[in-house]
Amino acid sequence: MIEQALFKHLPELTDQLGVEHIKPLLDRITIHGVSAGTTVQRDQEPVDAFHLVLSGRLSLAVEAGGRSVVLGELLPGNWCGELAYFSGVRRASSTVTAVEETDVARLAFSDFEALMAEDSVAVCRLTHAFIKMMMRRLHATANNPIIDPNGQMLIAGDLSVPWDELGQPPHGVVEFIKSLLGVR
Amino acid sequence: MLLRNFLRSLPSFQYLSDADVDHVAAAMRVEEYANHHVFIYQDKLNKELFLLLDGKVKVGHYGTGGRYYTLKTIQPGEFFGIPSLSEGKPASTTCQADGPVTVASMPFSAYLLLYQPDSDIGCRFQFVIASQLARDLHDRHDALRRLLAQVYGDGTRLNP
Repeated sequence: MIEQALFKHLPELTDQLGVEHIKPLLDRITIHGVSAGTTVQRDQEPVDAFHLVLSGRLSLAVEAGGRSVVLGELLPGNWCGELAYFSGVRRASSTVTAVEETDVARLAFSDFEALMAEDSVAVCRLTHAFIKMMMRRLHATANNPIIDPNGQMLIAGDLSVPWDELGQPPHGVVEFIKSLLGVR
Repeated sequence: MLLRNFLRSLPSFQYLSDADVDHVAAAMRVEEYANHHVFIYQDKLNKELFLLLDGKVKVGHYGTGGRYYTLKTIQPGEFFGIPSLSEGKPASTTCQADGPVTVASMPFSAYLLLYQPDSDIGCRFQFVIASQLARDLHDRHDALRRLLAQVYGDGTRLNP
C-alpha cells in the first residue's frame, strides 16, 4: 500500500501547507512506487512534473557523455523537478534515480498551474519550500566536486532540507522586527 | 530606461501586476559602479538584493585550499545575493563587477516586506525569486557538465 507513505507524512504536509490547503494538493497528486535503481527522470530530457519523496531516497546526478557528477540524495519532504519548472526550460537538470524502494507523489506542472488559480496560498507555500531547497542545493554545489576512491565525481555536502524547515516562517510585526534584528 | 519598464520586461515578472512592479521599483535604488566593485564577499553577510541592469558581474567561490574559481557570469536582468539575504547566513560566493556596471539594489527590510508569506504580492514575488534560483542552479549544472568534459576529454559531449 504505497498510499501509506502519503498518510504517514500527512502531518508534515499539513503543517507545511495548512489544513485548509492540503485537499486541493491531494486532489492533484498521484502516488507511485519506484523500485531501487529505477530512473525517475533523465538529465536533459523533457520533464512535465514535480516529484515529492514520501519514503526512501532519490539520488541526483548531472550527466554528460556517459559520465556523471553525483550531487547527493533527496530525502522525504524534498521535491525534484523545480528547476525545470521555474527556469522555464522544462528539461531535467539532473538524472534522478531511486537509491532504494521509494514512494513519490507526482504533481504535473499543469496541475501546479491549475492549483495556482484555485488556491494561490498552497502554491505560495510550496514555492517557498522550492526556494529553500534550491538555496540548499546552490550552497552544496558551490564547491567543485571531489573524486572518491572508486573514481566517481561527487559533490560533498547535504542536498536535502529537513521537512520541518520547509514551511513558511511565521509572519507578523514581531517576526518582521525579529528578522530585521537578526533574531531567530 | 526606467527601472519599472526594465522589471516589466523580465520573464519572471509575468505574474506581477503593474502595481506590484511599481512597489518593487520603488524599493530599489539604481547606481553605477566601477570595475572590480565587490557587491558580496564570500563568508560575509549580505543585506541587499541586487539586480544587474547593465554590464557583467562575476560570481566566484574560494574552495577548499583557497583556490578561487568563477561559478558564473551574471547577465543583465539577473538578481543576485538571494541565498545569503534570505537565510541570514554568510554568503557562499563573492560577486564582483567585471567592468563598469549599473545595478539596482533593494535593502533587506524592503525584501522582507515584499516576501510576505501568504500575501498576494509575496506569492508573486516568490515566483521571481524561485525563477532566479532555478536559473542559478541550471547554470551551475551546466558548469559541472563542462567540468566533466574537461576532466574526461573529448569522449564527453555536451548537449546544446
